[in-house]
Amino acid sequence: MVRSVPVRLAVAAILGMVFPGACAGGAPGADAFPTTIRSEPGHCQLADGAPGDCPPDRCAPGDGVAPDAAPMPWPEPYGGMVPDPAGRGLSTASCASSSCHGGPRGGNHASHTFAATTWVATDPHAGAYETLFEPRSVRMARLLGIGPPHTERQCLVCHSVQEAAPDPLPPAVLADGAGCASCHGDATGWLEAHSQADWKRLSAAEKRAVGFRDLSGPLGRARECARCHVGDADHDMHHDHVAAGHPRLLFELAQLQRRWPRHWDPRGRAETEPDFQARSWAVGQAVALEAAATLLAARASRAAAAVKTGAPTRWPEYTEFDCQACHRDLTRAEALTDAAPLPRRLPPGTPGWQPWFVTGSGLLDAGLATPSSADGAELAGQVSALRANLAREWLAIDAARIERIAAEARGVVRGARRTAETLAAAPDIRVVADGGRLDRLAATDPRLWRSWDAAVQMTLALEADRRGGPATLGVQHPGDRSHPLDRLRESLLYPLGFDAPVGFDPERFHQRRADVP
Amino acid sequence: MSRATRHSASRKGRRPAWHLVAAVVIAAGVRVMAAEPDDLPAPVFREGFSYKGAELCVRCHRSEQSAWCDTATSTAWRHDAHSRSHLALLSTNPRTRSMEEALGIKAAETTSCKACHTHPDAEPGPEEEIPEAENRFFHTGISCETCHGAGSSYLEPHLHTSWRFLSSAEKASHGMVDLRNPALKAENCLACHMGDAGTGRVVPHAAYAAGHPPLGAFEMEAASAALGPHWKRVWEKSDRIQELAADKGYQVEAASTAHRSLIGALVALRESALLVQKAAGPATARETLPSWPELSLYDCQACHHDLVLPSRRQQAGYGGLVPGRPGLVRWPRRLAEVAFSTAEMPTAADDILSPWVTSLNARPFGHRDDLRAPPGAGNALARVDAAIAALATVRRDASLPERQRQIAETLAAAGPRSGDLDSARPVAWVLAEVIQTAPGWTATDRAAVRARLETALDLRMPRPAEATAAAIPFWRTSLDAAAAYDPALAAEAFRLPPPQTPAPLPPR
Repeated sequence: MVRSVPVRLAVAAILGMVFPGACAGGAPGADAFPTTIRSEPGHCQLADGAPGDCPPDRCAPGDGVAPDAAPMPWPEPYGGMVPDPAGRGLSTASCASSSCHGGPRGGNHASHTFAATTWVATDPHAGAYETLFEPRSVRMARLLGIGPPHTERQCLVCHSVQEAAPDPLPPAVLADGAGCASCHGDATGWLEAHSQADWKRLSAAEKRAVGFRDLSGPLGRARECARCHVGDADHDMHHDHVAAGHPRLLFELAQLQRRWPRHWDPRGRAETEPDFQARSWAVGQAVALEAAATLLAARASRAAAAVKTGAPTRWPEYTEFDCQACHRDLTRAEALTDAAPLPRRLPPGTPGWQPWFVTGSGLLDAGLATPSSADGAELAGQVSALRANLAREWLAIDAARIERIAAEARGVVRGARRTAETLAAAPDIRVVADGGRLDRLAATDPRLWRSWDAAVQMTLALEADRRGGPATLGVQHPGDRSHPLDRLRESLLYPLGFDAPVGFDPERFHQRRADVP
Repeated sequence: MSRATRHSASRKGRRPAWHLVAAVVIAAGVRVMAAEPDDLPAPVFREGFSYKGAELCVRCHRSEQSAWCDTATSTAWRHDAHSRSHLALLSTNPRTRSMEEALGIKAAETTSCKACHTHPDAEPGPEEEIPEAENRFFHTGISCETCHGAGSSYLEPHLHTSWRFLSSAEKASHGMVDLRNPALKAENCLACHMGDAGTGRVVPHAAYAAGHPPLGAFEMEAASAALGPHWKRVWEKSDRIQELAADKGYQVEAASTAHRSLIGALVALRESALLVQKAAGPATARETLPSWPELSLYDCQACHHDLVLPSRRQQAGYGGLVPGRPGLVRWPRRLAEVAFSTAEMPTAADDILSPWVTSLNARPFGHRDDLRAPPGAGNALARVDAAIAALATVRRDASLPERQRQIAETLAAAGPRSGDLDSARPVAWVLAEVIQTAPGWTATDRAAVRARLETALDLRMPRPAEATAAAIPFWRTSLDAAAAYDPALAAEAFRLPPPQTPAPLPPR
């Protein structure tokens, strides 16, 4: 296991790119689910159920991590067959009975009868809780000086269904990870109605009224995903977490849906719309910007309040900024030639705000998606102003100045929300990612558009354009890898042994981009 | 000079054994930090003294003069890179020009550039007016008075024979910085080579981002040796002068170069904390620093590192700092720990720095109000001062070879735990020096150890000719080495061969 760790992390890094938003810790892949499900000094239980002494090569904590003084307790297995009432509406088990959504796969069964079966077998979200027991997670907790991750609310809000419950849920409910309730909502208000034939006759609004979330279209889906995959005030994956070992969050809805194992039948749903990919990309970008700005506003407001009282604060919150602005080795030529004659929008030595979301929404504003929102230009102006202001003010520790940043971020939130709603309601959406348009964009702020984040966003836009159209029935797998888009995508992978796009060459990327037909 | 120093010795002091004088004077030379922010030490320079100009110095210090002043000081100085420091401010230098464009400034007219690149009173005019004549180096570059202190008050008295028998504190009262005192020399060098917010000698982060070369790890004795010293140690002078010096309590130099380096490391550890504390402080810092926090006062590599897997930082832990927060400058720590051990006061650098780190944890870059007088800081600084005093009491006597051997072994044990190149280099510089004289190794072994350390840790320092002529700037080399730092290779480089004379076998 020790030897496989670099491979696992490399896989995670690759998936972080291929599958934006995937948590590396729980990433799918052959190596991501170790055969050892439990790892303590001196004892382990293998996946084949044979408890016993550790084979030294399988149980030693990976990654060179010294084991904690006290081994992490594995929660008590759930005792009864009946779910604890406390977690009834949240428990995946209550959805996954064999006569509801947990039936056998295949045959002539309707796919909703085995949705939970599909989910538990193929969906990385099912492993979200188990991730908290991995050596990497244990070390994160140790470095952060917090309790075991599976007891920490700050971890559980995304890695389980705990977010909906004020009191700690039983381990068996948590163990299903980001379960049904994480996206579909707490079923307490609709569990019974939902099992009746009448349920299908209810309108989306009626379902929403009882707490059943509307995931039928890109807008509802994007908002659900963004809660964890971008973050909000209650799901704040901040830089302390990243420094201790949490992977960076990246989110793009169209790509996520293309790669994500679907546990529903797409027929008759949003997936079969001809503009499904384009709409997902466009709406996803707007919602992502909305979520990012909401998170910034929440963090800034909290920081302003803390500064007023002298309380500890994490402001300036580094995850708001370009990772590579700081995290690059100073040896690289680009670092020593920062003064090179490349026009700059920001003063030397200041990090830019969220290049991922800024370039994503920038592509949207550049007219890649038609119809472009009427508010597009205004929103782009707001984003640009926020970015410039934050570069000037990011070190300010004055409550009023931090509060101004929050107010500016709230302006972006409103604009992005309007854009998202306009795009979601538009009758037809097309993404046109033509080379000339991308070139013109790249000339507007070379430092921003030559970044790796911009390159990935451009690639994802190209995919939404070139590989658009309705979704296929099965899960889409990477193609034969001969398409120029695949080569473009491969040029963006992190090099082995790095958790960053070290050596990314913008010139080469833009040359390859020009080759994409 | 600090008030504490100035008041600590009377002009006509008694003359106890010189090593005790050494201890008292070196300890007094250490700035005594009081808890009140207003009691921060005044800048070393300027206060009450003015500059006379190096032409006056050169009249005497130009050739072999006597047994006392027996180096061709001014000749040596022309070959010292410091004498060319002001040339970096000229816009004809491509890097300077691109920095000026990025920052929108003129370097020769910018206080924070001039603070280190010229002597404090220099007024470089428009660049075309800076003459090329060699003697003009003494006008605008770093010159005698930049380090030794403004000469208005000591110029005349230091011509007298009695001058050299005055204590550090007495010389300080005339405005001369006693650079034979290792603690004072370290403070003086570090004011530019690490930074000193109190006197405005800080390279702002924007300047680095625009292209200023990084200030990496610094060890004053290795740097002095590389530049070519324009002085002699007392122990390098004639026997007669050494006797006279011992008899009259002349000058305080510590027992050996290694001891000087260790004292310098303790000062560097202290300054790494005071760097931030002074920037948080009142008056002087507020005037000289444009903003708070100034990123360049913190550990560069806290942020500027490649994100590698597996992460060495996560494996090593954060030494009491919240993960992902910028900490204090790191490089002095490992050598300072060797200094504490050598002073027989083993102490973890993280313990000493914890008062400041507590404040850095409360918010990124620290809470300014807390940093002005962190609780426990006085105690931590007192421990540093005590170790400096303990090292200063060591005499240059028959026990020195054995002490040097112990220092070599302590350094060799500490080096592999450095964690990064910048922390390892000061340890390696001192080891490469002390191994040359410490007993127990053959000449071949000594040369091999030195060569291994130089290769693995890039110990080479720039000669002025290389610094100006080389296609690859010298800092680029050390950055390449920093990126390529391999703990296993470093550990191998620090491994000392077994001593030549084997220890006697234990009795059966």
